[in-house]
Amino acid sequence: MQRHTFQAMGTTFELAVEAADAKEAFAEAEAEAERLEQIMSRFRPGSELSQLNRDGTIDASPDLAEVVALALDARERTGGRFDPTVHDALVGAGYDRTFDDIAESAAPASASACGGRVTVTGRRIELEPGFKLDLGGIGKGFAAERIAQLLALTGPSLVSAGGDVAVRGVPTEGTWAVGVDETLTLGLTHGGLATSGRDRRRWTRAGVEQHHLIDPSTGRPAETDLVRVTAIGTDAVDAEVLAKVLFLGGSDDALARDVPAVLVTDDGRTLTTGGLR
Amino acid sequence: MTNQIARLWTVVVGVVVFFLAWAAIAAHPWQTAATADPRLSTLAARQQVLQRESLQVQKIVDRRWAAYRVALAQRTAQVQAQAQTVSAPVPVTAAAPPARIVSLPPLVITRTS
Repeated sequence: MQRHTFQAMGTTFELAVEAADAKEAFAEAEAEAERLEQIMSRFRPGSELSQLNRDGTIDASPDLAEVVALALDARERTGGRFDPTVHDALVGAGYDRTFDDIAESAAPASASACGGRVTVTGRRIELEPGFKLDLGGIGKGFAAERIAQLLALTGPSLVSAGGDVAVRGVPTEGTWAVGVDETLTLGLTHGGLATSGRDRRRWTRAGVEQHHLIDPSTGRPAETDLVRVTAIGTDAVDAEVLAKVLFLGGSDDALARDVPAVLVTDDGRTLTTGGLR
Repeated sequence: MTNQIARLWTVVVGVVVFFLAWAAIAAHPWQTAATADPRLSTLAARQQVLQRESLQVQKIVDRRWAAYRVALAQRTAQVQAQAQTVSAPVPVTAAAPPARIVSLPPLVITRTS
């Protein structure tokens, strides 16, 4: 098993390929991650996403148009619980620079409206004035899938983009072992897996803890009894959307939906749902 | 002068008579019109046979079409009955997820993205 790790999109990418040699594939994977970050990063002033957020409209590359279309589809499917127009709410909560650069501040956090209108016509994307996009989570899922596609040309492969995991093919062991925490490991044979939670990427504003998972209905970091959700979907993008939706809904809603997921509650319980055993 | 005109007329009349005779002979006035082309009668007979066969084929097609319509109506009724059965509320069994809990050492750890 060939392994490779690199930093991109504000997280650690971990690659695994079952092949005798994967150096070239790993180099292509890094280049692809860099290319996608240059398209989807809201922290790079020269990125396509930054240009869209500045100008309100753009003739986008096929990749940006596809990710935005996926995000809008997810918003529709989830009744707005997943929403890419949370940019200003994230900034209002203090996530206005790369996570490593966020400093503690005495300035209070503020809420911002979400649910702005976004239209994608071919490659032309237009934003309702006053709204901007954040593609952080779904962008990593998209990148994981894209890189897994590249690595699959070399052999059975796994890509982990922080919490977003995409796999192609099955390794000799029969499954891809993905650790959810110290005690629980999931074997993934196909599809994708993603984790969303408030146990990482958190900071304080005026003494109040903030995190990066915005509830579009309030425009503030979500308040829920869940600390972390790991969801399994048809691919990493689907899993990312699912994890976020389950997290925002809380444990009762997540258990009622009965989709394959691991829930960690704020009282320390770990629950599995959707037939995971 | 007079002789020349007379000769000219004689030549003209001769040419006219020659062509009239040619046309008359070419028309074969001695041949009887009653001799019919045998291929025509063969074609007519063939046409009648085909018309009879066409009618027989049409009857067969009509019978089969009627049988098909009856079978289609029966099948449509079966499909509708089956659709009503499927749409009736039944206990939903969750499909097997593409993941399961394993005891293998983890290859990677998933964290909040």
